[in-house]
Amino acid sequence: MTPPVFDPVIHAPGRLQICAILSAADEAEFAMVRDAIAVSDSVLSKHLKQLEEAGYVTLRKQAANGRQRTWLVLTSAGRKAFAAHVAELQRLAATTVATPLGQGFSG
Amino acid sequence: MTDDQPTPAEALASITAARSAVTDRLKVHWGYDVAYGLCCGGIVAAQGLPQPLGMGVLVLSIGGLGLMVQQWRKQTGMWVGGYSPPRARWVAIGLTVVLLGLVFANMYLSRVTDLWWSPLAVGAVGGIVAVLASHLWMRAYLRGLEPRA
Repeated sequence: MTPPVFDPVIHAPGRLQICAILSAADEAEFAMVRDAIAVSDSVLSKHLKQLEEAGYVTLRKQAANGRQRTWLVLTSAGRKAFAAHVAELQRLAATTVATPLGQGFSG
Repeated sequence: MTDDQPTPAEALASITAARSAVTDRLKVHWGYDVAYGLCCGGIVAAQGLPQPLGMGVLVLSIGGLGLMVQQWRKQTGMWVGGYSPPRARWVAIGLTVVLLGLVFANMYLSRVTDLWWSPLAVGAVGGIVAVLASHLWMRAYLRGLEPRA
């Protein structure tokens, strides 16, 4: 069981979706991820740079049929951080649903 | 949370949406399962076939698997190893055990019998098992991507 830990690097909407896709595969192609989360090349590159700097994602270039393709891999640290972040989101979501507004305040 | 950050519920919903976009790409044609079964059946059958026929079938079957991997990556834009997803991993392990058992059975039968159809029959069993396992693996994998309650 992964202990819940909130990760601000992963939490940004685009990066959360990138991690969600990469965690479901061994590796995924840049263009596939871009189309799946409906962002531009530059926006995806920016998110990937931040994930790469955090050590969560690695990029691999591959030449195929005269085209350069970039494959993205979620590292072991990235997988652990994403699992911990999802566990924290689930914990927070459950807390939000279970606790009616105002409960816990006595004043 | 700041104003531009999603709430936990919104964040979980965005994870589900992103994974749905991926699973839509993974709905491959049933012919993929059949082709996979043919290749696996070929590998099993090759162990009992006379040479050089056996070697030819083995090379074709392994080459076929390689082409299937290439095609899969090109079509889906992603790669998932058989043993990677936790839920589907057990299907891949089970298939490996069954196929190895059939390979050894075929090698044994080819020494003790002269039945020409024996390697083909054992290969056909391996092929059918592989078709079913391929289908089951994909179901287990896709279920593993669904949000947990």
